[in-house]
Amino acid sequence: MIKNYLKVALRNLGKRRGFTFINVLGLAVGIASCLLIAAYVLHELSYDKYHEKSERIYRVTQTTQTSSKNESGATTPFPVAPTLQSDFPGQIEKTVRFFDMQEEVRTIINAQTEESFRVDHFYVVDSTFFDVFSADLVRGNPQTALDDPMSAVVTEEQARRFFGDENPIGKQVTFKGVKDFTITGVMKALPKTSHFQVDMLVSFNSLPELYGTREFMERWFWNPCWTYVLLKDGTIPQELEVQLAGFVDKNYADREEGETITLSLQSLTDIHLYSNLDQEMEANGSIFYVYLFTAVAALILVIAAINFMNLSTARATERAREVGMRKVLGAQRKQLFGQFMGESMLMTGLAYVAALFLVYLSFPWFNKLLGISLGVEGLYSWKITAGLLILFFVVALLSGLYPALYLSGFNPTSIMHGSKGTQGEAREKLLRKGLVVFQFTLSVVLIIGTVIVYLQLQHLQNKKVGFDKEQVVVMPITQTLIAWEFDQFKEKALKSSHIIGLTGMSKVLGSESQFYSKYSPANQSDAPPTNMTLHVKHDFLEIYNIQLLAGRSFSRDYPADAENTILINKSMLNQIDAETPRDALGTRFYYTTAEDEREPFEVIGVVDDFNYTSIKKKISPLVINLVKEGRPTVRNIEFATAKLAPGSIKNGIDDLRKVWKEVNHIDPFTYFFQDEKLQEIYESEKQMSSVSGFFTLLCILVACLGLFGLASYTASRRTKEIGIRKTLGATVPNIVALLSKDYLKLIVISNIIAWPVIYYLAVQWLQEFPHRIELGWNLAAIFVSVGFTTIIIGLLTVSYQSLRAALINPVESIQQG
Amino acid sequence: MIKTNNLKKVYTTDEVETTALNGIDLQINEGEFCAIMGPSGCGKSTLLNILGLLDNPTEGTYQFLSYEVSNKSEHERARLRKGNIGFVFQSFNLIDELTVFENVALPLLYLGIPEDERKEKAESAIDRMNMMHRRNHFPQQLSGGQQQRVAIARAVVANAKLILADEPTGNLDSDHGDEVMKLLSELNDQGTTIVMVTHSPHDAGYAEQTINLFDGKIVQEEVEEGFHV
Repeated sequence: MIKNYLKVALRNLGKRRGFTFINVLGLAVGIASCLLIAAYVLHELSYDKYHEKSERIYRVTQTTQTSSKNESGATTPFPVAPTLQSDFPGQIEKTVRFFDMQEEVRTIINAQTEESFRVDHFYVVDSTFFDVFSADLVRGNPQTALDDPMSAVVTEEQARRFFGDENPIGKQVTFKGVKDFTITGVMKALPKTSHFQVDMLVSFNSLPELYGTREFMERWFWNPCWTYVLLKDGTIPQELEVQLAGFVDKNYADREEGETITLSLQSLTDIHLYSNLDQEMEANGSIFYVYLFTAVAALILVIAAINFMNLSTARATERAREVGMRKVLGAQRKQLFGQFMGESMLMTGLAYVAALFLVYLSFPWFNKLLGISLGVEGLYSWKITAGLLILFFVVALLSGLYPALYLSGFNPTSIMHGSKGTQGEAREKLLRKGLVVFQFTLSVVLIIGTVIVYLQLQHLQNKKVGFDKEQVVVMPITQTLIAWEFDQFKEKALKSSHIIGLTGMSKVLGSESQFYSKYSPANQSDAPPTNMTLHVKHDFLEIYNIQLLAGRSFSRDYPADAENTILINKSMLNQIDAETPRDALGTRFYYTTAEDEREPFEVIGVVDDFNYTSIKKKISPLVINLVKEGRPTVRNIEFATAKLAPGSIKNGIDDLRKVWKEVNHIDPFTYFFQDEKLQEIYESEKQMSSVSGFFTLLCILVACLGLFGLASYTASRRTKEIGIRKTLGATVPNIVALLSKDYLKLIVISNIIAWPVIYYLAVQWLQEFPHRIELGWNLAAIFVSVGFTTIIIGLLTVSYQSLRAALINPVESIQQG
Repeated sequence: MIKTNNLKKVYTTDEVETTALNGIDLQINEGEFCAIMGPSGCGKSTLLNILGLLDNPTEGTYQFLSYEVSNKSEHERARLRKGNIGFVFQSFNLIDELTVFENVALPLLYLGIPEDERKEKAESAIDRMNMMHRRNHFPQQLSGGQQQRVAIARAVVANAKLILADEPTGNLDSDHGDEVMKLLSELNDQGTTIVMVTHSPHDAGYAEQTINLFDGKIVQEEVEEGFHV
């Protein structure tokens, strides 16, 4: 019996090739999308789960709240880890701190060959690193590798870079040309699914030697350390978290007045998808995209399954004769049901094979699109295999159940009438139309959604940042000789005709990092004790072309500028109750020194707001402070910025490199362009929007395939009617209009249903952006243009079939019917 | 074999009632060859559907092989149909996706007969219709006459006691039509009861009894000499 079903199913599929093609292709695209997205989702979900103790590892995060700021950071002060360890011995087994020395440039020199290398992922960590995290040491002893001061563990790749094929253990590398580290271990690279990457780890007790003091390690104000705790078996993190309030009260002695500090525990395995704090070690993923892509994959699959349902039931009359005859010959309903289910299984099976092939072909490209590197082998796990089997039955059932029930329910007498009762058929038609509307509503929602995401990203990128970003080169200089010899560097650089100007600043404009200093308005009792501060060198406003609203810029004509003047931005006016920028001139601020002394500063100029931090964030009040010429800029100026002459990018960079080498023979010359840095901020959003755009296209493709099939079917069923109409004088356009009209109506209805849905979703999504596109007439324009686009796509899809039917010689079509 | 009493069939569509059969009393004995004649729309096919257990009457009784079947469910009717009744249609109604052999063997498949026996019986039925050389062809590859011979082979393959033929020669030219009628006649000679709907007086001539239907009623019964109603 099964053999017979299989045979009939195969012959049926072979005979109706168009129908089979549409179904198999649609389902294959749906299944392939599911598999690709499943690979991505599993990859995202697997972050940090490779650590044996991952379920017991938590990161301690710190929230600092005052009336004016609310900072949620991934980092805590130095003493948090050891104090937690001693305060909660029953709950905490081990702690590990990571510290990156807050520098952009870390230069390592092979002590023997004097070759220098730039190391990206460099951390100072506690010796407990290997007890808490699962990392394989290829050489060295994990128990002792990071015990001694100035010991270092490097990855295999870095070891090869530094020393070639030689055994690196015991070899010396020079850090920034001053201090030597001894290599005590070589580790395997961490898996890609780690929320932090490591190139080189050095022992925590090297810090006093590196900085010449250990005083900063006892302070509770500066919070630069990523702190992880390994909880003892049975410790409930929520209970420990509650006790951390008391811990804060006891230990954070130098808190400001009105400042609330909260410590929280964040599960290691939640960091990648759920954490988006300040000072993350690396940019994390987002659970939003995991949900979004899962939903899109499911939608494509549903649309493909609907195609199958619609085309199968639309073809029902064609098969009514077969069903009737089989029943006349003694078939029971369940046998016929089995037969039709078999057909849908076979169809799904074919689609599966095609889908696996599609996945195989598109995998490298999909990786590139997402900027990740998944292996196809990830899809061979038992989990995926089981998932595939389940998915197979879900798809087969989803698409086959209804047609099988419907088709097997025909009366044997239908063989005489040739079709089902008119009432039943009308109901089927209505259902089919409903399903088409559902498919197109989903498609329209996806299209408009993609358009809105795209427009919002464009809006952010094109938004005026308030400063010039072209022809501007930024060089990280922290802890380099350039920081010490800034004036010499500048003087030599400006001799080049390709370099128009050079300045320095504490943070890169437009980046995520923020810098607070204890500048506060003098006469405001409720003013916050700290404000965001940008430390700059002379010519900063000029090089970035930041607009001055009142007063003057820092000037060499006033030698005391660095001692007692500041600039403020427009957003600061509120804090000092100034109506206009001019009113703010002369306002007094105090700077509170480490010794708790108050130094007065006077506002000499007000600048227009510019995006000194990420464009995603609101612009907060800002103090701009001048770092004096001649004074070593080691502490506050982390970047040098050069403005190049128009058309002189290559020559300008060459000259900068030359001057850099003259002044600094130790650190390699590194630089980036200001505009590219701004672009980087949107890299992940851009990637995600192109991925969702791609899947949207697939969605429409599959929906159109279904429409095409349905239209061709309608056209063939109405062949006789068309013939009669033509003999009665209907023209070809009349016929095309007749056949296309119904489907166009459905597309219009889909659009109208989609509008409120997408409006609601868009408003929700846009809420997260401080700078967002306004949804007004532009939204109406998007609605209308997407509506027209879908109508045109639908028309093209349908009219091909309609035209074909309309062009048939009427005699033939009458005979056919 | 067949006995009906006051058989009625009413179709209701969109508030229009159509009476297709209006009080049919009929008896057909085992081994008889009966023709049903009448103009289009007189209820011939409806009667045949009911006699063939494909449909239930709206009113009246119908005894098939001494069972009262007028109110049986489709499931029960299907059980009675299997193996007892064979059908031959004007448009042959072969399943396009199956070969000649597979079409003929299909009723045996649904009867749950093992494969060896199926093969033997189907081949013997095909052989009887002289279609062995076409056993692996698909219906579309055959002429109308050949298709009808396959349909007859299919109707007799399970040794049906009753064959219902709905205008079996309607789609055939006269030569092929005669051929089909001869086959049916032969089957009748071997003991199979045959009920045939036809427009053709020529074909009705093969029958021993002819029933004329008009507007859902029997208007005249003709019996050839030597036979009794």
